[in-house]
Amino acid sequence: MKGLLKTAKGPGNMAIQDVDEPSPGPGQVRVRVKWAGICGTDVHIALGEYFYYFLPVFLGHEFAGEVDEIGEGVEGVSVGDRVAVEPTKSACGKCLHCGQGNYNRCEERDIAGVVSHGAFTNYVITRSASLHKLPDSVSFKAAALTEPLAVCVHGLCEQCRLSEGDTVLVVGPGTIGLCCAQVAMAHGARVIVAGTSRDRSQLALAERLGAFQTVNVEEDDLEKSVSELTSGVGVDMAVEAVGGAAPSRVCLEAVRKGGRYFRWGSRVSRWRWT
Amino acid sequence: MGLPGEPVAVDLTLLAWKEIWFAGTFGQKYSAWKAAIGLLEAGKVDMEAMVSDVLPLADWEAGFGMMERGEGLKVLLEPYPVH
Repeated sequence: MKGLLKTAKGPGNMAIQDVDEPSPGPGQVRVRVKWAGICGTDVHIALGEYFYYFLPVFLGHEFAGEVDEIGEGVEGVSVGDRVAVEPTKSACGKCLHCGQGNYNRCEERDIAGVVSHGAFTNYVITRSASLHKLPDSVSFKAAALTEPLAVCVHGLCEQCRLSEGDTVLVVGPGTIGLCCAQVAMAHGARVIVAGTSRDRSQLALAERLGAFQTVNVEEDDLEKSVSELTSGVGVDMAVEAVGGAAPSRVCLEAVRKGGRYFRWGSRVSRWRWT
Repeated sequence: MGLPGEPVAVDLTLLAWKEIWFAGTFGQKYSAWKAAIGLLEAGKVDMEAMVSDVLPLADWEAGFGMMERGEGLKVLLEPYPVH
């Protein structure tokens, strides 16, 4: 099978390569990839900027597909099952974090497309526990975005206690920002999405998806909008989904006293905003 | 996932003055996946609306280029046909 391989550290060193088709071991399944999304992380690995990945590795950790083969001892999974797949292929199961269900914090975690082969190829081998069966109504294309959606659910709902009726400011209308906006709206929040002139089409999409207000910070006064919408109190939650110092300042100023400020692990990205 | 780059200088005094709760996040876990699938099933989120481009894996360079230049939103790649 052919896949997109990162062959060495540094910028570039990417090539389509042929490898033998893998087979699932005990407790594992083989998923035939239908669609896989390109994440900013993949781009940073391609550019040699990312701080954590192993070599050689097929990239790609956002994907959906069909169960194709089942290893020994796997129960509750059938060949042909339509699935979205967690990038976590395994975790130690013994550490404090695994014991609390927080295996995303496990130091031993095997991550598709980062630690071992990912989804920019035909087949991925993973543990059966990382499969999530898809309702018939959910397409493979939509399901390929379950990972960023789950990232936003984890961030907003689990890390930041999103509540119905919250006013939420999302700064940065990329995939993560717009997923956050959608998660917040789905939970009954009033959402303001802020971006720059280069984000026009994404700000328009945010409006179509139901954002209460969108703000181009290069043309409109975000501080004034926030003040007007919150009677001068500030937003309940500010979500920063873009790198750089300016968005951090905007969020800290926009959030109300006792509010929540939620931020990805970003430093400066190429989506710089000064 | 986090993004790389240079550290950012931000005055965190406001965290104290405003008693702001500051949260980080990294990745996802089972409970979040279950909730995400629930949102998809209930039709409360529209993920297809966020797909701007679909390309065969053979055209990966074009897809990565779009992402690097900040064009489009989510680019999906389709694997090579299975024989």
